[in-house]
Amino acid sequence: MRRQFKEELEKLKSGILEIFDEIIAQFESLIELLKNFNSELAEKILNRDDLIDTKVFKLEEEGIELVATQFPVARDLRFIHSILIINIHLERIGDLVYNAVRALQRMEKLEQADKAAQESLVKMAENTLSIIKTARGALEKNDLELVYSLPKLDESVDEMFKSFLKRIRDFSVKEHTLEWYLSLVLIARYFERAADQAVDIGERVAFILTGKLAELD
Amino acid sequence: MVSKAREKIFEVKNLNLWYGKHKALEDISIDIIKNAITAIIGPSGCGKSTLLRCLNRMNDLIDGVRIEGKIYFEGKDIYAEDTDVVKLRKRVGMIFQQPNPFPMSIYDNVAFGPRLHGVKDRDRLDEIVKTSLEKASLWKEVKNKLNQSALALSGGQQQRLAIARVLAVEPEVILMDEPCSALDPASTQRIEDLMVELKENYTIVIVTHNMQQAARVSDYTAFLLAEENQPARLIEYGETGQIFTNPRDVRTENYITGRFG
Repeated sequence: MRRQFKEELEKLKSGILEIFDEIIAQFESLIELLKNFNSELAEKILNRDDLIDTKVFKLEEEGIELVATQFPVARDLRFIHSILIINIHLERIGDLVYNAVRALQRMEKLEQADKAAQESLVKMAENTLSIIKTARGALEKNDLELVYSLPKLDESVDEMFKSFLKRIRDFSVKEHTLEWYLSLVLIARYFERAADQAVDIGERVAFILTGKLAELD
Repeated sequence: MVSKAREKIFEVKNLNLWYGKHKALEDISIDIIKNAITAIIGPSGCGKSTLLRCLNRMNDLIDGVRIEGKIYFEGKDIYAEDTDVVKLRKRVGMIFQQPNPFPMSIYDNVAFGPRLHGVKDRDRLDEIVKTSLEKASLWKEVKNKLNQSALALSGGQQQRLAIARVLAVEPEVILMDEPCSALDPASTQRIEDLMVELKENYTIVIVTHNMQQAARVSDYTAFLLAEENQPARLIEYGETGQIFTNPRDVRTENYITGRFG
């Protein structure tokens, strides 16, 4: 195989794994923030999002350049194409983290209305992170088994999101706690979306490995 | 890209070919689809041109060539004893890597084939020359210099003249053996555009080293490979989109991604 092309493909893979690691680090900081809010850490997370976006754009440029100069086909084409799509999914997960921090900042200014619900949110964030890490492992190791484990993991996050909605209904939220609860549900929704993005990443890994485009279920 | 009709025009069945004692092709079976472009790809020396030349019996001209198996053209065995090889080659024309125009005028180059097949009427010949050059996208460039030598044309124009020469005898199939390998990118582009136009009315089989070209123009791709000290076999044959995105055989994958060897 063309040596330079092989090196470029490896570089693309290490680039996307690096972005994955950035996203995972952001998520870990977010969980810390959920447990013990601290405005400095919140700002740090928000600022890091710009850096991630820069890396995302750079990786996209590198991928486009490889398509333009190397005429990839077959597995190489599927790989580059999928990496570029995974790149977008990661950028969106990054945005969801950003939005979650913003919502958390708003929540912090309000009286905590439901301690148990906030603790459940931490659990939901941890489950979401675990899905993101699984998607990363699947990509790094070309592991289809990890890919196929994603939908099951995602179910737990979906269930948790539903339970938040139910909780609000059951507690018949009072007017003065409405804003707090809305922020809570928004954050839960961001986690649910992030977990879905991670499952979509798994679909792309499966496409690289099998050549088949299909929804994971 | 793939034509709606999937009627086959050639049916190659269990074809084996020897050059003397050397076996070059082994057990090749392939259907060539009508009004489509089929590309034959594979490493140098893997028998691509040999297979192409079997389709209009050009290999008959080489000493010591022996074949086994069957090739049916429109349902008729072209290696049957009663085959009129001249007629076969009229119906199945060929374009080579080097255009090699005859050292005569542009007009006479195109009229050469029809004259050989008995067309004498000047008006009829004029019509054939004009139509053939139009179909080969060359008419506008040469209509005012039909009596000039074909040797004065550029390489790309000469290759389109070669195509016009083949079209003048009204073939059904055009075999192309590396038709663009001596051309610059702009001339290559014109030939590729022309191929796509021509498949409306003709069937095209092209041998090419240029995989991007195969991917760009063809509807079907056949991958031939001669593994170490072995005759060439057909490794994979399928729709071009599938071959270049998700080949089924790892040897095809390795070849088209450059991991071969």
